[in-house]
Amino acid sequence: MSNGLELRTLQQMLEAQGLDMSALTDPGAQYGYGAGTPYGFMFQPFDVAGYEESAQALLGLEESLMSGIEEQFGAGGRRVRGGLQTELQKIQEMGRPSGLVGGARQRLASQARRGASQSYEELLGKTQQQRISTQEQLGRQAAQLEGSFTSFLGDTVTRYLQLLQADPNEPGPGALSAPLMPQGAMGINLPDFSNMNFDFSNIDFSNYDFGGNQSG
Amino acid sequence: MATFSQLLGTLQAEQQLGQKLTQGVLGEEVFKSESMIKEGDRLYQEAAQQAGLDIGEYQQKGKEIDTATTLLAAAVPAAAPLIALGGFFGKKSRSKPKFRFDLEKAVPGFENRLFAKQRGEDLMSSVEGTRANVSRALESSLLSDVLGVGLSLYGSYQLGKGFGTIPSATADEAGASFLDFLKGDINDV
Repeated sequence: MSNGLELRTLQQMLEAQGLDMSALTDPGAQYGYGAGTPYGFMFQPFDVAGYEESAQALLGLEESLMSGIEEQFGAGGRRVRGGLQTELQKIQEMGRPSGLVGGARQRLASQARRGASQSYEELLGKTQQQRISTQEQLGRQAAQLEGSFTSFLGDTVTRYLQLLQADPNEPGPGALSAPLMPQGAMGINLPDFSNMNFDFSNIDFSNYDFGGNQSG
Repeated sequence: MATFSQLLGTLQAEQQLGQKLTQGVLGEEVFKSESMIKEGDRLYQEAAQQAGLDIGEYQQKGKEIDTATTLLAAAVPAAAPLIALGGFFGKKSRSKPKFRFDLEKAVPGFENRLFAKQRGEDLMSSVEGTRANVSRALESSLLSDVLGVGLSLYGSYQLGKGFGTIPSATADEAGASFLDFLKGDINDV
């Protein structure tokens, strides 16, 4: 099982979408409506600093929560060991000077060890449960944080479409140079045939039976 | 120090606010552009209607001049050529109606509006079409003026014959021809 939160950087997420940092700082530019155009103010830049601060805070939170769990586990282990030691000592003392005989003492010690081992198992299980639940919680929070990035990209596309719908007086010079759909979304990974020149002019269709049979 | 939840909440809230604000600005600009188109269209309709009325008035004045020319030339056939000439120049002196409509002057900022490009182009095309129609109507009125003078002279000739100001043909005399009338070569009856 992997330990630690895997939080992607903005740069990595942008690269995955085939974009660069300008998609966040000047989002309209990818559609030809950048900050220098009269339409630039209709696109709001992404709060890169706020995002990075949040990411740092999340990593800090992870460290704090995980180390808390480890500390609790360590303390619990120490308690179990201490308890066992105390109990073994008591059993030892019960044998002197004319107390328990060897067999009974060993049986009690063995019982104490089994109890301690069970407590330790329980502690281990509880700790593992805590680790999983904390990691899940951190994962949800990381997804929320990364979601703010993807929702920003989505909002930018929506804004561009709203702008087109309003029939802008000046078409953006670079309009449609950027993908409308994120990478991996339906259709975006289709092969690009735009550079292939298919020439059908030399094909003689006269011998083709479009009913299904080819003759000649 | 702010917690992660606080920072994330702020980031999301700011993002939503920014989106709403820019959406508001977009809506406002679209509304402004639409208003400009509506205002331009309203003013264009008014100007086109006025141009139509002016052309009607111009043509009405021409008809009045034609009628006066016909009646005068019939009453005084000897002066018919001069009266016809006066009628022609009278028609030419009418002030020509013009369709002067500049969208940018009528609606300041029209050309620099951000949206409704197609509707703006449609409106400009309508304005240009009306301008072309008005100037075509005035171009054809020159030919109509010349024809009007000819017809009114012929009408005067016929009317003069009816009134008896122009001698009609009898068994003894040939009477005045339309050419004689045009020359002003009429002997008063």
